[in-house]
Formats: sequence, C-alpha cells, structure tokens
Amino acid sequence: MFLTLLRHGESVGNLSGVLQGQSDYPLTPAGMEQARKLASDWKSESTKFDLIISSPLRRASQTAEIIAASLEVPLEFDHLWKERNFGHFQDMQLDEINKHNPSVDFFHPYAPIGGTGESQLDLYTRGSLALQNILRRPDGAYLVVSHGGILNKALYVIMGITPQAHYNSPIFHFGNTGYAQFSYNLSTRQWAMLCLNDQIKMPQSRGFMSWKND
Amino acid sequence: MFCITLLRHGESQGNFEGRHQGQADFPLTDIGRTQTKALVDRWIAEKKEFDLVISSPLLRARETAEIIASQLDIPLEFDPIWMERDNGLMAGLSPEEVLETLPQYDFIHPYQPIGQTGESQWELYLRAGKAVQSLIYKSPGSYLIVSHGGFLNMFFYATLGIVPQPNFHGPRFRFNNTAFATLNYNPSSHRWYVLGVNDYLHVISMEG
Repeated sequence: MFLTLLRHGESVGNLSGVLQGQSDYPLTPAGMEQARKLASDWKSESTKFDLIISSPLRRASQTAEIIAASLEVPLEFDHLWKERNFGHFQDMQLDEINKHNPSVDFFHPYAPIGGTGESQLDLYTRGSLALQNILRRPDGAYLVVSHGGILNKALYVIMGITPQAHYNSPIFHFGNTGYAQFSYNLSTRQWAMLCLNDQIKMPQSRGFMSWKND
Repeated sequence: MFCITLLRHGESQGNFEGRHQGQADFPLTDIGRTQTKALVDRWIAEKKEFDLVISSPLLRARETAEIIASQLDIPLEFDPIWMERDNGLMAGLSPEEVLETLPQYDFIHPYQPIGQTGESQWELYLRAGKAVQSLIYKSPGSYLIVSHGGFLNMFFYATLGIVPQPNFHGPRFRFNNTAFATLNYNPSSHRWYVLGVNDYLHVISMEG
C-alpha cells in the first residue's frame, strides 16, 4: 500500500498569520496555484492514486478538489482528518497568542490546548483512528489531504512515537502543499518513509508556524 | 540552533553489485561520482552553506565527502562513529552468498549480533545516540554528515524516540544514493524538527 499525506495549499488564515485550527478559511489564489502546480507535476510524473481522502475544512477540500479533478481520482471526505481543535486560540494571531500566553515551565501531553481544545493525546488518538480507516481499505495508493498538526500525529502513529510532555515532541515540517510518502508492506507490516517535502521548490515560509505550538 | 544535513554516499561498487556492504570498503562508481557532482552543482546554485563536513571514513562516504568539501570549500573531519553497521560475516557478500553460507533465523531480536559477529540493532542504536550527542557537544551551526543508510536510520530513531524492534520491524527512512535529510535541533527546548527526507532532486534531474 502507498500512502501520501499532503498538507493543504496556502490559506487566507496562513496569509494573515492566524492560528486556524478547525476554523474554516479558504485557499488564497497562491494556494490554489500551489495545488494546481502539484497536480500538474504529479500528472507529468504519471503519479497514480486510487482514492483521495480529504479533511472537509475548505483549505483542504479545495486543494483536494483541484487535484482530484486534474488527476481524475475519486474523492471522499473524512472529518477525522480535520486540523486540531485549538480552543480559544483559534482565529488569534500567532504573536498575540504568544504575547498573552507566555511559555510555561511545564505542560503535559494531556492538557487541552486553548482551554477547550484537543490535547496532544486527543489528536494522537484521532490520527490513529484516521490511519486505521485507511489501513482497513483494500491495497492501493491513497492520497490524504489534511493539515500540519494532525498529519504530524499520523506520522507519530506510523513511526511508533508517542506524544511528549512540554516542547519535546519532534516536529515534521509540512510547508503548504508539502507531503510525506510512505509504503506499507501488507505482509511484513513494515512502514517505510519514502520522502518528506522533497519536491518543494516554492517558498515555504508562510504557514510554517501556524501549527507548531503545542 | 543546529542545522543538520544527513547525506548518504553516492553509488558504490557494492551498491552496483547489490552486495551487503556493512564496513566492507567499496569505492564510488563513476555514477556515484556524477551523483555527487550533481549535488555539488545544486548546492552551489542554492548558495547552501555548511560550517563543517563530518564523514564516515569508509571509502564510499569519504570520496563523497571529499568531493563536496573541496568544491564547496568547507573543512572536513572524519569520525569512525559515523561508519555503517558492522554486519559481521555478511560484509561484502551478495544476498545469494548470505543464504548459502550463513544460518537464517525466523526471528531476530534486537540484541542479536547480525551476521554472527556484527553489531546488534541495539549496538547500532547506541552508537547512533553517541553520534547525535557528539554533534550536539559542538557549537550550534550548520553541519553536513556524510554517512550510510543503515546508520542514518538509527540516527532518526535516536532523535525521534523510536527504539529498535525485533525482526527489524520498525519504520524505515529511505535514503537513495546522495539523498539527504534535513533536521534542525533547538537545544534550549530539546525540540527536533524534520524538514525533509530523501531529497535527491539533483539525481532525478540528472536522469531526466
């Protein structure tokens, strides 16, 4: 089985520098261009997918729709691939969050973020269920279109890393339309990470910080 | 911040012949040298900067590192801690020769020496942990490590918190010849960032 985990293109929220979480921002024109560019690269490389599974949030669904139309692949939505719920941090500017919420001496991975949001463990649990849904499907090549925070936890599940306390959890960088590719051997049950962000030629600064703070 | 680029050597004679290399010392092939030069051209075009290159002393890594260090004008050090896994009696053998000459096991625990006399996966993991530490004992900066696929996989395990598992079960991180991975490390928060894995665009462009 082949699995490609893709982060959405640049969104209005990325551009204005807010923490989006489950708030629903559409793609910017640049974000749509990123999705079209990736779709045309994949088309010219003859990359094939059997199914695209996307988060229903607009920045992901718009990215997925552009790719699905271009590569002529069926598209389904699964809410388990939505971004982390960041509680009352959602829609706030990142520097504002940092200003009003100074670094604490210690936090554990069970703490809800932004008062009412998902803890790291909530997110890890949701990521593992989302992944399990795919592994129960027939052998094939699947593309998931989702978000930086939840994709990080899906990578943890694949690699057998557990959420860590404080700022110690490793972070896998996903730029806008950055992706990770994996093969999963159905007889040995072994995962191999084939690449992460290896094809990105466009500037990736925006949106990098938007999901980093846990 | 530490900016760490983990590079696997170019194609070696052992790769070309499909042999288990381990610490058996094969030189680069002409293709391996061409791959390395393509990487150098790419990094020159990208204005990539490193403070220091640290390489495994095995020939295939050494040659790769020497080409890069001289072309990019970066100091180069060798440290045997970055060598490939000692794979015991498998060193230099083809898969068929391994099947003919060495006992096969249905189950391998991670403490078991590989190829009868080689490093167990735990020994390799512990060596990778020491290699990570030796790097972090240096000043923050930009480092290029030239090493080997098996060892660099354990570097990932040691930084991400993955432990060796029986039957080599556990995720693998693909490194094609002259592919690199990029990591950042912030010692004040003990946070590792993985920025890219198995980037070998220069080879893809080379092959058209």
